[in-house]
Amino acid sequence: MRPIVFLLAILLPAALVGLWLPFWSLSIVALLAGFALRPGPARAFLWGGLAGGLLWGLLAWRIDAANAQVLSTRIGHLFGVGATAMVALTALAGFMLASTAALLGDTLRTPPRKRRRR
Amino acid sequence: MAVLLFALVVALNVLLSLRLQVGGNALPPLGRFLSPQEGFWCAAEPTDAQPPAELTLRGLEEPVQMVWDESGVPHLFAANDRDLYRAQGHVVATLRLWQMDFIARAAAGRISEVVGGQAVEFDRMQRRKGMVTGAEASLRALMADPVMAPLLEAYADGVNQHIRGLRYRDLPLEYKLLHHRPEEWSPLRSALIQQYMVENLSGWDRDVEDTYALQALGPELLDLLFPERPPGVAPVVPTTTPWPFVPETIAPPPAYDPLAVLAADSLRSDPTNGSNNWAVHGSRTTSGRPLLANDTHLGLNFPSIWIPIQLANPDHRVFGFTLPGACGVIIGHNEHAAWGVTNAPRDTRDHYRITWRDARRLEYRHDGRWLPVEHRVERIAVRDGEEVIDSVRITLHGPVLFDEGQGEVPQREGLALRWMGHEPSMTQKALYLINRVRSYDDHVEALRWFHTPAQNWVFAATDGTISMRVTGRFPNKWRGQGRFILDGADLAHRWQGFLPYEHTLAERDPERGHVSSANQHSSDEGYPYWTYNGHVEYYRNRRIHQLLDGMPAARPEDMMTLQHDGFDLRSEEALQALLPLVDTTLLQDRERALLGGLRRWDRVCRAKGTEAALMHLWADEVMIALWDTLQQFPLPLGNPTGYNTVRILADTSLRATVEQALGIRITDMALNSFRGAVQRWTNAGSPTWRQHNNARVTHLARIPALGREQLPVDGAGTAVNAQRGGHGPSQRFVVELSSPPRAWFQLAGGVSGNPGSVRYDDLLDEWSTLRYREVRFLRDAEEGDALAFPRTVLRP
Repeated sequence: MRPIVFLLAILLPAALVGLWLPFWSLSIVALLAGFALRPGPARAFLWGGLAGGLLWGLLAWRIDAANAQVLSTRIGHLFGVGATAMVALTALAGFMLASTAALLGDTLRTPPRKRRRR
Repeated sequence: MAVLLFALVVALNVLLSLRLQVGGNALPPLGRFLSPQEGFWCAAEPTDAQPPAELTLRGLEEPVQMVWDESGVPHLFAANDRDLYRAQGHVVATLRLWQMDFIARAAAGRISEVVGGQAVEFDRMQRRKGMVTGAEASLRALMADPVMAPLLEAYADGVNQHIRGLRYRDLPLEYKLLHHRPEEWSPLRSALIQQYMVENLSGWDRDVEDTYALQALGPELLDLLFPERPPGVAPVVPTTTPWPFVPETIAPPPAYDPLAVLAADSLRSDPTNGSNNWAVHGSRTTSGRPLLANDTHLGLNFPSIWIPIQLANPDHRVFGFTLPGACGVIIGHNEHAAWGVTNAPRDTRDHYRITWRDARRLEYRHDGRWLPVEHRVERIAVRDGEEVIDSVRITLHGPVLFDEGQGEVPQREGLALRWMGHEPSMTQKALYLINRVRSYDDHVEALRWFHTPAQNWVFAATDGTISMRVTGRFPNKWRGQGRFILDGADLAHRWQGFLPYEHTLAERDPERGHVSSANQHSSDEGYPYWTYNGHVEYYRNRRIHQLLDGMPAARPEDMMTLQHDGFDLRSEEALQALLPLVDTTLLQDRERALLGGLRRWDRVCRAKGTEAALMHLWADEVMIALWDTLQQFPLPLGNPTGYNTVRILADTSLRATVEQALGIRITDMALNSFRGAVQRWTNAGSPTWRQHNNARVTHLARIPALGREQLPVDGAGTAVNAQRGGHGPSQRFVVELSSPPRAWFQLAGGVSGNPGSVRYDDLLDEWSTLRYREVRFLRDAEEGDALAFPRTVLRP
């Protein structure tokens, strides 16, 4: 399976369910994608994380640009970082939530022992 | 492996859902907070955001048109009062929900629920002072009024419809930062916000300090250092002709020795909360029309305390500044008149010594009898902590603020507080009526309902009338009653009645052609009632008088210039008194040069200049050097006012009296205090006034990232442009009473309370300059369309 398919399989549904469900819905979607598509552990972690990071990073970047960094500058002060770093921090949080969950999904479907035998 | 990963994923999600404590600060749950779909990013408004074209507001009888002008100010056009105030509640909630919720909680002593144990003492004092009791008393009076009750209900419903539609992602940013939820609005919460203003503007006194000063210094020195009314003051309403009424007399006690009652108040409002207002008669203006100006000095906060708004229905059309929670506008103008307020310092708080029957403190003496004390149990909920239970003793005078062992100093313990803030107040009804005034007589009748907090109301009408009225409900006191601690056992020490409204201090169209107030003494000795307050203003009012006297043909821009006047009369008078006292031969070259700089300085506190910083440090040093001994008593007595200090320094015989009483040499003090000031100023890196004064606007929850500092503002606490640190003119307003009136305004912040909106602070930069925005006083929504202003229709 192409990594891009796996990435989109997380990014698009997560963007949709995130309109109604809280932030942890990103982890649920990544977990389900990892479980259903079995991308392998390295791909699950990397591409799953990229999906989450891209989703949150792009959404934050778009909001930030439309807002001329008014809010990210203020919140950045609160965190002791610059406005752009708030976008990066958001992307990083998205990456972590999705990567670990996608890896878990893949592992649940194909436990490491089985994988070695295969 | 899978178990470990599962644990990691769950742990990560849980961790990001928790409110973590980092370095003593609580971080919001980071997953939720950072999520661009529900976290802080949702508060980031696009800079070109347009308001919705339509919204639903159930309960409206007719649609309400809401036009948004270029400053983000809403203009509401409704078919009737109920629709108007329902829509006002709704729009104020959309702009300022967190602020109104937080202030109502603060007023009720419920901040610990949000921030935890650090606010318990604040909450305890709010409750002990009887803030909720006062708000409930006002609410009962208002809800018994057939006009006001449905309007307050409609306003609350408008707020609640906004709250009910909110999901987590829609919440104002502060709820996400502090991790709490908005609470349902009610007319009681509107009354609590009014109570918060009453406390803010009348919640201080010097009764306890003055009593101990009398004991420690004796009556003569007390009168010299803390006089009731020193010479040279210009009252708000001077006695020019005999007052057209016979004063009501009350019985003073046969003998009164304040010291006989000797045996609180840790959370004081800022006694320097003040304001300027004035009106100039048409005979002294270029246009022949009256001019009115008002700027209110409060703690400068984000979100701005004021919301500019226009409200209109078929019976009136008004523009002005409202407070969150209030129906109508407080300062403003309609088609016929304009009005504004400054705080009127009067003694509306007294402390009574309670004589307990025994150590159990269940009964207390009054008028020869033992009366049972009531207990009010207060339960203070504390976030992440245990509930705190407090029991407050209530006497017929009022609540006991500090029980034994609770006061900062024992001298404040066991005193009951009697305060106008406990009385029912119909102020909200007065605002309703004043928004609809058509004449001077309407204005006088409207203010009959204005009970607390006491305010100097300036008024000007398109018919040419100008007036000043010291408005509020005042206890009628015998001379000296309540300046010192009163005896709770003595019947004659109780408040015996209130001043009749017809006996209010007021003047209309005086010969000098202007009226003004700036928190100075309300009256002179000619007023047949005793008035007193230990914290009055001495400088701004005289400067305003002086400048208005010299203005034969005033224009609106002259009013704006006057509002921004940075001339510091206190520095002027202090330098006149101090400079002759300094022996310059004893100074080093640099000190002499700096003193020469002060001599040549024009007394204008400019942000970029350095003289004001040095002069204010010198004034501080003088106060410390002169009055430090007064702070060494078990109960610090406080400093005499700067005005009285200068009066003493400028008078040879008064100087001698103080030298003898306090054992100091004034010339040594003048020299050493100047050297001390130079030292402090040099050690601080020779700051400019901007650096030293640090004009700033602070977020209400003290979140530094949401405030602004080091604003380039001229002025000083004792200048007309009363900018002192985080305190200053929260808005400015100038009206020309043409038909219809034209008006201009400034706001220290912005219309929106959302830190993610450009409207959060977009008016602040203009506020520190002479740039004013002209008020858009729209006839109807169509006029807004013609100006291409966006419109929102609120439909039932």
